[in-house]
Amino acid sequence: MQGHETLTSWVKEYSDDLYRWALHKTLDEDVAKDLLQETFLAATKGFAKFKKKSSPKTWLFSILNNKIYDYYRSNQRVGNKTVSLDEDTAREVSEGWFNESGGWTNHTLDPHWEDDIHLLDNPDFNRIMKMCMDDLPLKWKTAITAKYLIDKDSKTICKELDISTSNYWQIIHRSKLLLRKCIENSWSG
Amino acid sequence: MVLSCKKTTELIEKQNIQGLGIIERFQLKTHQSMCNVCTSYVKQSAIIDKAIQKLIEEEIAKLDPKLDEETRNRIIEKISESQGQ
Repeated sequence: MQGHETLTSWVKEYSDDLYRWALHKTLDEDVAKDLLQETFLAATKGFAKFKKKSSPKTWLFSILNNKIYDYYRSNQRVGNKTVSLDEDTAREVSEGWFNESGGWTNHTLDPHWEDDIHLLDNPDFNRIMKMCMDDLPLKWKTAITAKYLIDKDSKTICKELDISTSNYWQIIHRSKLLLRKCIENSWSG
Repeated sequence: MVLSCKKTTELIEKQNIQGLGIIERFQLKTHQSMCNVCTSYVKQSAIIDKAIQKLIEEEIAKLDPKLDEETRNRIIEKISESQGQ
């Protein structure tokens, strides 16, 4: 039982901090708990390799960060969750707002957008926003929230998501088009 | 070369993420000077960005940052199990 007592003491000492970090990066309590468990199991397996070169806390955090990025990447690869649009449909829908030469098919400007200061304080707008975000394909939602969750430069984000930079801004572009339309649709009732 | 609206809005997002070259910047500016839908897209895109950020902050605030003892004990158990094998 190599290191059993040490590992147990690490769970007691560091799991709160590790859990809070995972929670902030995934926004999901169940996922954060799973990642925490995976982190400690990986630490158990690799315990012999831990040579006290770093502090246990630093070592555990580096394992956890890898698990978090694995989780993001798996969201990039995953098929479609039943609730959200699948990627092909979403792409088709977003292409549909342009004609063959790439011009807007609809030139009307929705006046709601003009009130941008009040918009963000409007609970209805934020509720709509959440609903529209949940409609995005999971891969796109992960990409568009990664900017705030990973909180690093776009090069790092793309590396962690395992996508190219051009793929990244194309996904952001399509997501924005869908969100914009979804928001406008809910305004017009 | 005149950009289409589709390409223009794509460049707007590219600009936010990795920046544009001098030719792309010029193309974007030229297009925007004659297209009010794309000009308002810039504003809409920025609003959406802010709204996402706000949404995430709110979601973080709603989460319970405390780890329950049950999960902690389960992890300790799992460690024992994995070592027993």
